[in-house]
Amino acid sequence: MRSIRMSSEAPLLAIEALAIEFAGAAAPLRAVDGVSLALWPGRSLGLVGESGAGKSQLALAVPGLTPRQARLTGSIRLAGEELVGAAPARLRRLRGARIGTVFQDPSTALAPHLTIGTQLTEVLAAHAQAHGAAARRAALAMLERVRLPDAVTRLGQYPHELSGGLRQRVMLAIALIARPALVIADEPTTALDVTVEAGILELLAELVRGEGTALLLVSHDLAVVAGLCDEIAVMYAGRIVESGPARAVLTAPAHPYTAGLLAARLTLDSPLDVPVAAIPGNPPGAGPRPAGCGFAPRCARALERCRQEVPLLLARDHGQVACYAPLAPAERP
Amino acid sequence: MTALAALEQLVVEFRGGGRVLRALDEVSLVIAPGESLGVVGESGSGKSTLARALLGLVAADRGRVLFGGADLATLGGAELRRLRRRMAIIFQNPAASFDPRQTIGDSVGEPLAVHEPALARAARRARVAALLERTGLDPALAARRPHELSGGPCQRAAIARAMIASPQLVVCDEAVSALDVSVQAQIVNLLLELRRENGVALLFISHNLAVVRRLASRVLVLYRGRVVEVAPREALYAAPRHPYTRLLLDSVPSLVPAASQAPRVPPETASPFARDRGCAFVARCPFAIRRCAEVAPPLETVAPGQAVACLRWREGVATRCA
Repeated sequence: MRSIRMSSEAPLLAIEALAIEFAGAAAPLRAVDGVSLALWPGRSLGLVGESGAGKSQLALAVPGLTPRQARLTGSIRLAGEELVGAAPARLRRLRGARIGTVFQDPSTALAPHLTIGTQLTEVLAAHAQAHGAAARRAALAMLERVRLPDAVTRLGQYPHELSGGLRQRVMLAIALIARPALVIADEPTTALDVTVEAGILELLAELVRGEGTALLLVSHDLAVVAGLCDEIAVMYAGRIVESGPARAVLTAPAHPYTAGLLAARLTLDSPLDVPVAAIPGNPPGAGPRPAGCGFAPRCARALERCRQEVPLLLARDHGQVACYAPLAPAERP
Repeated sequence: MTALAALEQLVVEFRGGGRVLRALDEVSLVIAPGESLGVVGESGSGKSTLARALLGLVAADRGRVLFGGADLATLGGAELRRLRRRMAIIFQNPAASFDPRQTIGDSVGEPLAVHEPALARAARRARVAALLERTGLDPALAARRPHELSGGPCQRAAIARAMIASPQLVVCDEAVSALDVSVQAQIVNLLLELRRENGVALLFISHNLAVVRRLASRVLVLYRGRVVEVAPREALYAAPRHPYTRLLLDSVPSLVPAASQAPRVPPETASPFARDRGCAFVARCPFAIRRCAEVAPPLETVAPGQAVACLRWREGVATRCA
């Protein structure tokens, strides 16, 4: 079903064999190691992983925000245009106009010395979409769309006058005001209170659906992407280990890491009489990565082959999985 | 049973720029020996201030903090130091809670150096090694420095340091919140095991209701410095009485999107400096009536061990809307 529609249309975002490498003390560290993914207009992809997965480096690479000392190879195409190696001026023009970004901490992402109104109208002016009174009207309308209380007053306020949740609503407004084709949100609710988080996620869903915007949502929390994304890609140690339709990945995970992550989550109905099903060991740090599958050192199902060869991401059931010993349907939680 | 620790009508205020922020507003609680009490609340609820007050790290403006029956405010320096041996704290960010220049072994052994100065170095080292091993670490890590450890191992070392002087109360202030999910589960299991083995009382502070449910047998809910509900775990999670508790439970993200339809509640906009005459939650409460803005609801006992501060608890507004 999905394949028919998708294959007939070109993806908005096509990432192929992307690698991001940092110089290390002994050997270079591959933060992102050969990632390919595609995102179609109006669709949403949740990129899930723990620390060291490479998900944030991937999210930074798309709008051209990879740290200068890193080496970027592979291909990132936005509506057919190659972004790897694109001129900084071109990437600056794309940011805001074609690619909107929302990051974890709204207090550092907003300019402290500019009013909310100025920060919104600047985006429109920078991309020559609107100036003066028209820009101000658009800014006000956008603040109302993100349901910021007292929007008129907020235009003249500074970021520090707003609570964390309201600042994140402002960030959403800035990311969306120029009607970008792609929104990248990296842990947009992680710094927020749980009662505020639900409102922001709901708002994000509404805004991207209403506009046909494509969403790349990065999170450590499966539940955050579960409610919002059509598809999920799970990353571990710089690689995608499993991807597919959200429901399939969450209810019938094939990769032992995805299954382990789902089992380790505490919920409001976790059993109280048995230990929590933890994954032994720790996510990979900045040191050298193991040969073979990155998850093998923590994996109860690992075979000898897993420690030597990197498993390829291959089609399986509804999605794709990179594993030599995937869970059979009967074994899935 | 006598209380191990207690807060009695505790008020803690912070002053700055001519304004007064009341971080804790007449908070009372009792922790029994070996008990595991959870404290949930969001930013600005006063939960970290509560932790620090209990350890005598912030002074009470009114009310009392008791530990082992003694009022912390009346104790001299030496007595307070003796008492501190019986309590410990674990913070959210383990790397920042260690001295970066000290080895892990020296940091973990420090409480012993303070509280058991007569203990020989070799004996201290042996105790450190044994506890590192018990918390799941290679004793050889004693020679490492905090920046060489990743989040999980570093938090294990912080737990070893908290436990080494055999305290009666360990306060965990968002102790697993910054950890990866797969590691968080390991640390929750470790805390459960240690509590069972040592009979240590835990005050477990977190914004994560699912984690608190696993670790605490009784839970206290704070909102803007006030206790809005306190109840045994079973009652609080199955039948909350306060609308704010209900909101917190409904807001926990779920893997099944249909089940996580939280009611739309306006975001917090009131200044934390504003003192309300009525209920602190009135502006966000879907069940508020006019009287809620005028009268501060008293904390009323509604069932054995369960108390709630809501004028409408008898109508079951929070329980029913599930």
